[in-house]
Amino acid sequence: MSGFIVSEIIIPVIKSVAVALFPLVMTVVMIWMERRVVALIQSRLGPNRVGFEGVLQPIADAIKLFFKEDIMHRGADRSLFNLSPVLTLFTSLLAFCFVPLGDSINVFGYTINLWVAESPVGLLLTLGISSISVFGVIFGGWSSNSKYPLLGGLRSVVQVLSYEIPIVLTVLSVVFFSHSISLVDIVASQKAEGMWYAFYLPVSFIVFWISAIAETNRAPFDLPEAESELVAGFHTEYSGMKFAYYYIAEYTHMVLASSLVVILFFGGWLPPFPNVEALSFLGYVPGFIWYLVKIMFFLYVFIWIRATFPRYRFDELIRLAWKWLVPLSLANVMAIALVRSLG
Amino acid sequence: MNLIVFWFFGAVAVVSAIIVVTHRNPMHSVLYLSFSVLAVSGVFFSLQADFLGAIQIIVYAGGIVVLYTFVIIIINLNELQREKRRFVPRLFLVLIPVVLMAEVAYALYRNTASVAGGAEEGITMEELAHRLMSSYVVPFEIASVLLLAVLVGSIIIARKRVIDDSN
Repeated sequence: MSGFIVSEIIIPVIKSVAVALFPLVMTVVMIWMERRVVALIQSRLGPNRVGFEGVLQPIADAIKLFFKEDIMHRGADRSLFNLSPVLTLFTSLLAFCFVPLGDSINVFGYTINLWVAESPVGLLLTLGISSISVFGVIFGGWSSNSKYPLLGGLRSVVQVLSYEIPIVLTVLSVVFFSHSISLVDIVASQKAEGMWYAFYLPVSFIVFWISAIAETNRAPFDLPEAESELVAGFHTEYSGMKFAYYYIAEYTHMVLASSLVVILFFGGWLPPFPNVEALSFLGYVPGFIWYLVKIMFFLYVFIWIRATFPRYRFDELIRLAWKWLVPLSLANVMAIALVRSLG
Repeated sequence: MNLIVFWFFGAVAVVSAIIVVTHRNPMHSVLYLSFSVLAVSGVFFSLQADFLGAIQIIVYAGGIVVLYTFVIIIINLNELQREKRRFVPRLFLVLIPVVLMAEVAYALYRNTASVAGGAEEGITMEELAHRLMSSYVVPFEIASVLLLAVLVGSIIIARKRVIDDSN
């Protein structure tokens, strides 16, 4: 009976809490890393006063945001204005339910899967749930009843809808190899293949990565919050904790995008070359650590790209999606389908 | 357990669909429409139709409802005036929902056995693909041709306007 309680109630509750906390912890790490790395690239110092090398800076920021006055101007649409930040953060945290953070592990005789829910259509669900978080951005922009947030919201609709097409098309090419759209099965099939899919599908990986940056509204595609044109875009009117919700949601989205890239193209929790005898000692490192190392690399690339490339103009952004990425990913899918059906 | 989830999501879907129609503010209506769409996908999940549920979220919640919000933002709501409808259009507004409700009620009355009379386990994506490409290949292809025609038509309409502007 006690075994039943542990396996059916306590473990799922702990897992759910851990899945909600994991992106938040990554956000704290990312805020510090982003400010320091960008400062390093731009030959500045960055925050280095609070704690060792400024590692407590994100916590100081959080306390500041927590005690800030919550301002809502009179023309705003009350209910939508309050709902939007919650909607954005909630949906991006929800998508993590289907993301496997590692292999099954044994703790005190209980087998624990490092994912909250396994669905046969986990990949589609993750993409779908992360795409509805754009509602928070649009409603936030509209309910602020102010011109810059509205423009930011409009831009983000067009951007997300355009870049969803190359994302789904490149994901399709991964599914041709894995024969499954469950995220756990996709990693398992990379293990059976003995090779990460990025080596088989380099074009898919590149197109997916570019589109993922656009979907997360990160530089050089951060048009919805372009500060030189739109003040702060859709969250101009937000302050205090509501602004913090948007802020956390952006980083959560980045963690999600890196997780998807790692799972689809870089073997999830698998060590490099899992089937090579000489490298089998790498398998002693727990799967979660491999996963963490890989997503940290891609989060670093996010920051790197932000500090390197200038922002796109809006028409260039749409042209890139419709005239380059969509045809490229279509041709890619056709070529891979041809190779798979012949071979 | 599944039954409770089914009824919960069903109730949410119906209630929010009613609010979509009755609410004065179109933006709030769209919000409730998205609730309704998501609740319908919850109904699909409770019936073990995972694939349909996921597609419902991606296509309807992530695509179509987002486009609705886009259109509502672009048109200026303050310029919209309440039009006075004549008797015949008004009659249609009442009659069509009534007829549709009657149809649903009649279908339920005739087929009281199991409404979800499909497979217990739900249908996998592979089976779905096989059926789409074998038994239902003609409707599937016709639908795709129709969509292509719509796509081409909308491109032509948009193109013409650009040429007019440059002249």
